[in-house]
Parts: sequence; C-alpha cells; structure tokens
Amino acid sequence: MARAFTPKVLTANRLLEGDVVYLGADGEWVLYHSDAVLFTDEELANTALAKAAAQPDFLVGPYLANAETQNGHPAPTHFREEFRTRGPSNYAHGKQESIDV
Amino acid sequence: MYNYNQFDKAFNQTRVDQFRQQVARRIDGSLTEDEFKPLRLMNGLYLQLHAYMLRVAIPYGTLRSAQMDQLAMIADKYDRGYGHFTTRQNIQYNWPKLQDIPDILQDLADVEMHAIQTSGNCIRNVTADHFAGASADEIEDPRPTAELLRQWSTDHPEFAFLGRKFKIAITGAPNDRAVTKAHDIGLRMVRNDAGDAGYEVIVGGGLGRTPMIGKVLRAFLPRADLLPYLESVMQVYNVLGRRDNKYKARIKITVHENGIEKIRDLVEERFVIQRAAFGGFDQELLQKLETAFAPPAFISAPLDGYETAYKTDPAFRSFVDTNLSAHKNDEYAIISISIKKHGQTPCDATSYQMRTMAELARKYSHAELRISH
Repeated sequence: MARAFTPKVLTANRLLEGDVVYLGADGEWVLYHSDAVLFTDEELANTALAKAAAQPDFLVGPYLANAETQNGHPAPTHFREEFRTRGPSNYAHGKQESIDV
Repeated sequence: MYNYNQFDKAFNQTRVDQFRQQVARRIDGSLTEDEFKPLRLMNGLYLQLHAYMLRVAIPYGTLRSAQMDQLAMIADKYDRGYGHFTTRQNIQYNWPKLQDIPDILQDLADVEMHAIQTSGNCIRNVTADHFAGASADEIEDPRPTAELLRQWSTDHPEFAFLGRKFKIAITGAPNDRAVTKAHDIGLRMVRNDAGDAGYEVIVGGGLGRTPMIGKVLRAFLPRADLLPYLESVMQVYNVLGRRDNKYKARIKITVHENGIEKIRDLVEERFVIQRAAFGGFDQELLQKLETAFAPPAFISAPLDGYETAYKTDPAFRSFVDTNLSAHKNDEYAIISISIKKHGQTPCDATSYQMRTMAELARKYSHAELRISH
C-alpha cells in the first residue's frame, strides 16, 4: 500500500553559488526554510518538482523534503534538512550569520 | 623541488581550458548536472551541503612560499579568506562560486598546482612523509618516487574509472609519518641485505567506516620494478574489486575477502607481463627527478644564540621540545607549526596565516614548506 503523503517543502542548490534554496509561496526561490511554501497536496508538490527539474541552468538536484508547521512556518523534520537550513556547525559563517536559528 | 616541464605546463593548461568550456556549457544549460558532475569531480569540485568545495592537491605535501602566497590570494579573492588543509595533503576551499572555478584553476596553474584527481574513483593525490628530504631518520627521500607516481597516475586511462577512490602514500623513513598501513597502497623505501634500494609494498589498508591495517604484499620490490608492479596491483583490483556496493568497493575489502595470498599470486602473474612492457623510461625519469629534489644550499651559522636561549628561556625551551624535530643537517631543525588551536576548527588557516607561513619559510627555510596531518 502506498504511503500517505506527508507535508513537504521543495528544495535544491543554486547552480552558481551552491546555496541551499527553497520554493517560496510566491513562486520565487528563497534562502530560508521558514519562507518556503509547505505542500500538503501531493499532486501540486510533484508538479512543482517537475517544474524545478526543468530549470537545470539555475538549480541543481531539486527534491521534496519532509517538513512540518512550527510557529506558523515550515520546519524540517530530519536532521539533515535542519543542517541545510543553517550552514556549517563549527562556527557562524553560513546562513546563521544573518538569522537567529 | 620539482619544476614543471613544458609537458606538465601544457597538460595543466589544457585541463584548465577544457574545464572553463565545460563550466560555461553547464551555466548556459547545454550540459545537465548528470553530464557535468563527473567532469567537475575530475577537477576536484564537489557540491556539498551548503556550497561548492574545491579540493586542491599539494603533491607529497611540498609547497614553495610563492605557492602558499597564491593559495592565500585565492582564499581572499574567491572564497572567505581561509582554506582548510587536509590530512592527505590537500587544501580545500569551502565557498567558491561555480563561475569562478576556471579562474581559480588558472591561478593554480600559474604556480604549477592543480585540482586534478582530488576526487572521483581514480588514483588520488600521492602523499608522502611530510619531513621528506629533511628528516634525520630518513633512509631515502621519497619525493622523487612520489613525483614519478604523480606523473604515472595522472590521467592514466586504465585507472580513470576504478571501482572506488585509490590512495597511495610513501615514506623513506622507518618512523612511518606517512601512515602507509592505512592506505590502499603504502610504500616504504627499504634496502635489502645486499644494500640495494627498493620498496616494501603494503596493500589494503584504510580508515573510514571499515578501518583496516594494510598487509605486506612484497617485502622487497627492487626499485626498477615499481611502476610495472603497481600497474599489476591496480589491474588485479580493477578486475576483482566489487562494484555492486560502494561500501565494499575499496581494495581493503578486496584483500580481506580474497586473502592476501590470492591477491599476491594474481599480482605476480600480471607482473610478469607488465614488467616486459616497461622499457626503462620510468627509471630514466626517476633519475632526473632525483636531481630536481636535491637538497637546498644549506648555510652554516653560529648556534650560540639558540643554545643560550634554550638554557635560559623556559618558554623557548618548551617550544623547542614540542615543535622541533631532528633534521638531517644538524645545524638545521624542522619546525612544526600547528594550525589546531584549541577551540578553533582544526587545520583551517586564514590567508594572513598562510602568508605569514610563506614569509617565515622565505626567511628561514629556503622558501619551502610542508603540509601534513
């Protein structure tokens, strides 16, 4: 039996900089997980993924990642995705320089 | 120190020019990521969790001051002002942008450096004892052999698509600072009872998720047989090594699963054929390389100041006892500079630190530095 769809964000790396990006609510690609759109509909999620995969000159490796709502924003549910929201963990020299996470 | 000849320069420049075109085609969408990925990996470029990472080889860990200055310049111009020196004698830049990579490779080529074969399933940067050519306990300088191996393994068509990455280390000293038993192939320069120079060949060592101590494949390999013998080892691994599971693909697993005796028999069988194929050019080249790695023009200077300071200054004495190692010229010493300060990221060095080390080497060390674990 197919597993039930769980909420997801659409994420990738930006081709030129390698930055982690997320599809935002208005269709723009955003840097922060909390600004991502949370897909609760599987078909919409897969359509967005196919559209992202058709932008190889802008994105690398788009995929859907599990997420949940926390304090009104999407939040990752897997530690790997949590790492991707910030930057290296040794000291603040990634995204965590500009956000309080 | 080895200086690139016309062939090295032309080869390196061709690779930079090729990769510049490949990056341009990736950016304009002509190449997909699946097509581009093996090309970037052949040039040391990874896409990691947060950004691109470029791994640059420091063959056998030897650097000139001018090369260190260039690494510092690259850190400032294209990255965030620092680089990470790795256990296996590379430097990694953690924040380069894709469109800058061809310029970085050009800047490296300008000082006879590259990022070729620093990733992918090929023979990686050949590492050596970081005290090579200087240490008091050395039997022989391993760098000419390491350079021979670098030239032999670079773009070797037969070993460009191995089952997994392949790491070679060499030492010319009995104190194994090159950690040869934790490499796919470890070479120890030895002499037999007759006084002939040769190598002890160790195979199947490694760290990672399945750490294994390498096993002796040949206790004494005559010097002239090195390349045909290593080709034989590579050929046996290429045929016998597993490709069904990347975690079982390293030669340490091949040796473990098949047993060292079987591997030895197969290698010796291949070796008969391989040795006949080598006409001696490799040994001519090795002789030239030995000349290139001749010691610098050592100078003699009074040691009174050093001896007085050692006796009277406890801080200096402590520094000497911790950071100095015995040099083969007893008027010299080897100074180790740690870039593992407590509380800071081990082996990251800022561009300022790199320039300072380059300048210290210029003043006191014949403009030579070594990088190590």
